[in-house]
Amino acid sequence: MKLSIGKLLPLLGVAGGIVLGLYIPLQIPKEYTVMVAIVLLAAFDSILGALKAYVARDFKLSVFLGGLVFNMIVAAFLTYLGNILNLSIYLGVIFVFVTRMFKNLSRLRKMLLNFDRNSDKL
Amino acid sequence: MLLLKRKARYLAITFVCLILSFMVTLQVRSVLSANSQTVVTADSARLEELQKLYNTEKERSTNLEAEVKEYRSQLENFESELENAGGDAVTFYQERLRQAELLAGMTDVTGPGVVVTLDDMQQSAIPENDDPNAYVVHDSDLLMVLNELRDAGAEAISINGERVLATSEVRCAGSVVSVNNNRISAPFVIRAIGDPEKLSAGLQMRNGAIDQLAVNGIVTKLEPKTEIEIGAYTSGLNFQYASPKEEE
Repeated sequence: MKLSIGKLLPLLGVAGGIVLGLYIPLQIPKEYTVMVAIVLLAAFDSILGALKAYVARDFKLSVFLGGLVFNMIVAAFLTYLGNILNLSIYLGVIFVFVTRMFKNLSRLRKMLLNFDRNSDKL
Repeated sequence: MLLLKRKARYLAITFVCLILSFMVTLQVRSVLSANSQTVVTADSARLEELQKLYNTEKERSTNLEAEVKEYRSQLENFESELENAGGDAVTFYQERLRQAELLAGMTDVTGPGVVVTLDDMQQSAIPENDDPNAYVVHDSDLLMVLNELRDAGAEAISINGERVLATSEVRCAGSVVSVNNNRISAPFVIRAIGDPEKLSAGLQMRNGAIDQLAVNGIVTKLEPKTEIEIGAYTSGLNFQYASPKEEE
């Protein structure tokens, strides 16, 4: 793979985010940490999905961004709803996202392993 | 144009990465600090508990120190007593034994005191149709007098020759009264050694023992004496349950 500034930019973004997170004196209130964790899980799920799509060569930025934002919002909303109803809906959300993450991971793994089948005889 | 579009794509992804990593870091930091805060509160609770324990132990230690001081002074007293007794342990213990016997009523004693005589009212003096039982000396009457004498500082007491000990009972036994398991009957002569004036005054208090006895219809006679004799307790000592506690 050819390295370009464009491909390095996301890594810079990650580093910048970490630095910002470390040095901005903000604290997520204790009662919201669960919700933020769910939202992050939704984001990871979207990223994994995007990674799979990228490997499968049908990655579309608009789909990725739309799915990411939508998933995060829905996850946050469901957690909020669960708080109101005193029902742990977020467990269902976790279940769905984690299941999908594993599914995407296994697909990703298979696709990556099948890339050059010749060198991979077991 | 294509290059610009590409740049926009990368910028978007970079932006997403920035936001997400920022959120992850913030989340991790928040959770970690929350955990450390709960640890701090648990620690402070433990600290309070320890402080309480420390305080109780300290108090106990102060008490023990005071006890030690007391025992030490007692020991000093014993030693000085021993010295006063001539430094001879035998004389010392003989003296202690004499005192104990005196206190227990195991020796004849003599000294100033009072003699109180209680008697039933004579049959002829009892009004007709009145209960004769009300004009008889009861154990409670004797106990009242005994208590009053002890309060006035009587050092030795006998009733009809029965030495009254710490263990002596004064109890109604039918028509008679039982003292030291011996039956005695009216008239009851109570001898008490002590300050005659104090003993008399104690019995003659307004609404005191003698007044009460008069109300009960009992004939009372009170004689202060300069010299009376009270005999020793003659029966045996029979302790079945109490035994001296071993010193540690």
